Amino acid sequence: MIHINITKPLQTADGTIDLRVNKEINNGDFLTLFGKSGSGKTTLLRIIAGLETPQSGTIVVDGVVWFDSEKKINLPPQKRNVGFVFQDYALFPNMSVRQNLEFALKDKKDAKKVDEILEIMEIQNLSSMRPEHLSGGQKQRVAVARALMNSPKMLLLDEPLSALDSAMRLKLQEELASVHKRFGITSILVSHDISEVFKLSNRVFKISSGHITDDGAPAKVFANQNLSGKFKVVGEVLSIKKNDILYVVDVLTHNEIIKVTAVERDIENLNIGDKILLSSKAFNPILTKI
Amino acid sequence: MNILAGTIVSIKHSDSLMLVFVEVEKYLFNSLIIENTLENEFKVGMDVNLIFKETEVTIATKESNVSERNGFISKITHIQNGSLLANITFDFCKKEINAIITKGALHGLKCKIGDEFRWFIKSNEVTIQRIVN
Repeated sequence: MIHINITKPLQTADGTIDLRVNKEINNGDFLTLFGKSGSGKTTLLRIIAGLETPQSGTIVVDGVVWFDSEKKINLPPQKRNVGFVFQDYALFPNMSVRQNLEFALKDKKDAKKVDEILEIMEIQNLSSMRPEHLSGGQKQRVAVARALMNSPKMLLLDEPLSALDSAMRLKLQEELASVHKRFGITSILVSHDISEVFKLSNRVFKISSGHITDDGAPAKVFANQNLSGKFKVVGEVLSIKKNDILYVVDVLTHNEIIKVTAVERDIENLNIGDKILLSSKAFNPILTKI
Repeated sequence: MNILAGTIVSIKHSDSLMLVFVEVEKYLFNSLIIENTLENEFKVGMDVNLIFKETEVTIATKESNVSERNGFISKITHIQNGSLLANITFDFCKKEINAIITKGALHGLKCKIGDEFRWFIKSNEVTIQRIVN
């Protein structure tokens, strides 16, 4: 269990705001911090990692005090046992993949750990390559592998997939989900991609101007649009094409593309890449046994 | 989408099926839905939007009898023709209702601007959205 109760003033484009968080996170949770840029989500992640210091408050993880402003306790990042994956991966460019992993290893005697993680992440074939020769998806895999080197208690992911194209993003989302399932590590992801939130996390904090405005399962936080529809899916608009007097909108949901008809008014403010909620009444879908 | 704002005036239950009666101006609409959920509880007196797609709206002559309760006589204000389909716009209490039907059906009914026709929407095609102030 993670108890976090902190405050920190943040300088944003809109002036100074106060980041205030008082929450408990269960072990094994996959939590997403969701919000606009400048809302405080990355700062919160960096505070948990020990990369930034709160103005006041406490962070207690499984009974161990990581931070206490009154008692002047502030464990450095390397003592917090967290794995951190940065948005730009932050791999050492002058080292091979294997050397990047070895460098992260605290107990240098545990050399077989490198092989084990290379195998789990299926990157053995990349082990002698330097980061500059890797694709974005491969770099991300190596960054996750490096974050797992010291069997961390927590995996902190700062928009690790935002630089990837959507096919690679889907694949790596599945890998992150399977890493989480396999190791059961409490994971905290910063994301502003609703479909990613649905795919990966069991809990989401919606953050706005430094405050958590919503907390719950993704379906509760995002899908409650006060509609009576029984069939609700969150998706992303892939294309909008005119067909006769109608428009056909292709929507990507999970791994399926669903075609939906719309009229001109419906699509006036709709753009490719927009996140949408698809809903239908319980009466429309047809069941066919397969 | 066709959207009409109204107020719930009555609700009938049969197990998890609910028939919700919504008054729009002075007209009564029926919406058939499946059970209230906690986060989405409909009650009498609540302000709601009725939402239904243009492609689910059907048209008939004024005199015809249909099983549907959500049937209203309105004047046609606009007709847009496509190659297969046509969009017919009605004036319903100063609000637009659009129906998309095939051009064959349009010609069969001899619809033209200014004529009055009955448009209707099945109650199970009407989605209810709570208006949150």
